[in-house]
Formats: sequence, structure tokens, C-alpha cells
Amino acid sequence: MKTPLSLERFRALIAAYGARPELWPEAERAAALALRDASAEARGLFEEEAALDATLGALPEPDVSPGFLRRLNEVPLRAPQKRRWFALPGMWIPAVSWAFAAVLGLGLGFSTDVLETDEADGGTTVAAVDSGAPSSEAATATGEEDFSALALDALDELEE
Amino acid sequence: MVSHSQHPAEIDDDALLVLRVGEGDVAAYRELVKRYAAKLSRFAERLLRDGTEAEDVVQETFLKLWQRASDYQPKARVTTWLHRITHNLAVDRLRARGRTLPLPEEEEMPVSARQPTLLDEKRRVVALEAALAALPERQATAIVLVHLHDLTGAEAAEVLGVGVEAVESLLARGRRALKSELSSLVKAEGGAA
Repeated sequence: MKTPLSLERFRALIAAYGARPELWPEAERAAALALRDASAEARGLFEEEAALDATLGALPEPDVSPGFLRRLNEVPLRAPQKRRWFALPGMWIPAVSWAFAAVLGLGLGFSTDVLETDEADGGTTVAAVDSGAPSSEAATATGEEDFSALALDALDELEE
Repeated sequence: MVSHSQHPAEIDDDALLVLRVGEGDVAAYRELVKRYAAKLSRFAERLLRDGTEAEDVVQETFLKLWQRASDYQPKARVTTWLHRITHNLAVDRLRARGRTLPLPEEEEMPVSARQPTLLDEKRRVVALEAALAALPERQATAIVLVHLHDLTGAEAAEVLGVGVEAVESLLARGRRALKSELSSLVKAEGGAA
């Protein structure tokens, strides 16, 4: 329910905003319209201001010279836009993705102790740097033995 | 205390244009020039009382629109935002000239008068333009913002950097002065007849 408006406040409203309810503060508009409809004095005040509003509404907009308008329209041709780099998703998303991938890769590289391949897939085991064994000794003989056996078989076949 | 609400901060047509300008859309920029060049020129001229400087300020306003459109937050209407930029640029120029806009209290209270009703509309318009030009700056600025450019009292207060009550006071005194001028013209015509 709206709070009734005093005639004094109505007078102040209409003195400032005239007889154009759309300009009246929204919070007071309904109460002001109700008072205008209910009070002959308020209605008189409203009508008194309406003539000035009509004349104000008839004031033409000033002409803007064609030369000035052209200068305004040419602003984009003369001045580059100042874009915030973070406002351009097409640029920062790939950059951030690459940076993230690089950091992740470095982090994993420095923090991982052992990298193992699946022994079932060729049977080769690679020992890590701090496993206690020199890297040259890290490779097990499994793969080398298989290769040697194959080589010997091939020589046997040739001899035959 | 009276509360004064603004227009809802919805994404209106102007705001959509500004968002497009932020993406580098020149056509959207030119549409905003078409909509606001005359209004901002009148506003700047009212503040500066100098056509050339007013044009410079309006051009700077549109340069800021072009370059800073991506900063626009649709909390305020575009019209309020643009008028605010123009106002700030004009005030900077006035300061550079060693002038400032007078505070509302420093302005003279115009004489109140009854509303004229006899002048035909065309002559009333001419008389009103002269009366508006003769108003103290702050009153004229408030009248232009609210009665010619359709800003709310709260929006005009935001542009001018004052409270809503101060704007209502400026508007009331400005309107009284305009009515007084028009009334004087009616009386003068009556005397001459």
C-alpha cells in the first residue's frame, strides 16, 4: 500500500519536475498521481506547470554542423581502442593454457622420483636418478639378453 | 527522507551499442554519435558558454566512449554515463580557466511569477530559449538534464555530483525563473497592445 503524499511535497515535486509524471521519483509517483486525481488544488498546480513543460518539449535540439559530425565519426579511424588484455578471451585463454602446461610439466619433472614403463611392454625398466644405481646400470639385462639370443639364432641359421 | 529510484539498470538498446563499441564496432559507435552528439553539445555549451570548447569536450567524450567502452558497467544508463563524462571534462576546462561552477547556494533566487498563457507556441519557444540561456549555469544544467534530456533527478544528481535535494532545488528555481521570463514577455506584449 502506498503512503499518501502531502500537498506540500506534491508542490515541491511539481515545482522541480513539472507536470510529467514519468520524471517524478518512482517511489512517490503513484501517491502523487493519486493526490492529483483527488485534490482540486493539486490538479490546479499540475495544470499550471503543464504549459511550461509543453514549451520545454517544443525546444528543438541544437544543430550539429556536418563538419563536427564528420570529426566525431572519424574518431575510430584516428584513435586505436585501448583494450584490456584480460578482456580478450581469444588472446588470454591460449596463453594461460600454455603457461599452465609449462608449469605443470616443470613441476612434475622436478618432483617425480621414478618413471616406470610397463614391464610387460618390452620388459625394460628405467631406474630414476636417485634410485642409488648409476643410470648406465639402470637398464636391466632382459632386453639385451633377448636381442643376443635372436642374434645367435640368426648366426646359426647362416652357418647351416 | 525521500527515496529516489533510478531507471532500472537493464541492458537497454544504448547499452548494447556500447558493448558492441567495446568490441570495436564502428557502426555502433556512429549510431551513438547520431543519438547523443546534439544532446551532449547542448549540455557542454550550457556548461562552458563557448561553442568551440564545447565541441572539443564532446569530441573528447566520444573519444573516451570509443576507447573505454569496454569499461562501461551497465549500472547506470548510457545517457547518464555520457553526460557525466562530458560534465567532468567541462569542469576540468573551467578549472583550467580558473573558473568553477557555482554552488547552488551561490546563485540568486529568481522571482516567482504566474504562468503566461497568451503567447503562441513558436514565440514561447524563442522566449524560452533566451530565458534558458540567461539562467545561472547550475539551474540551466539541471533543466537541460531533466527536462530536455529526460534524466531522472537521481541521474542528474549523479552527473552533477550533488544530492537529489540539491537538484530538485535547482530545478524548482530554474523553472520559476523561466516562467517569470515568459510572464514578463506576456506583460510586455499586453502593454504594447
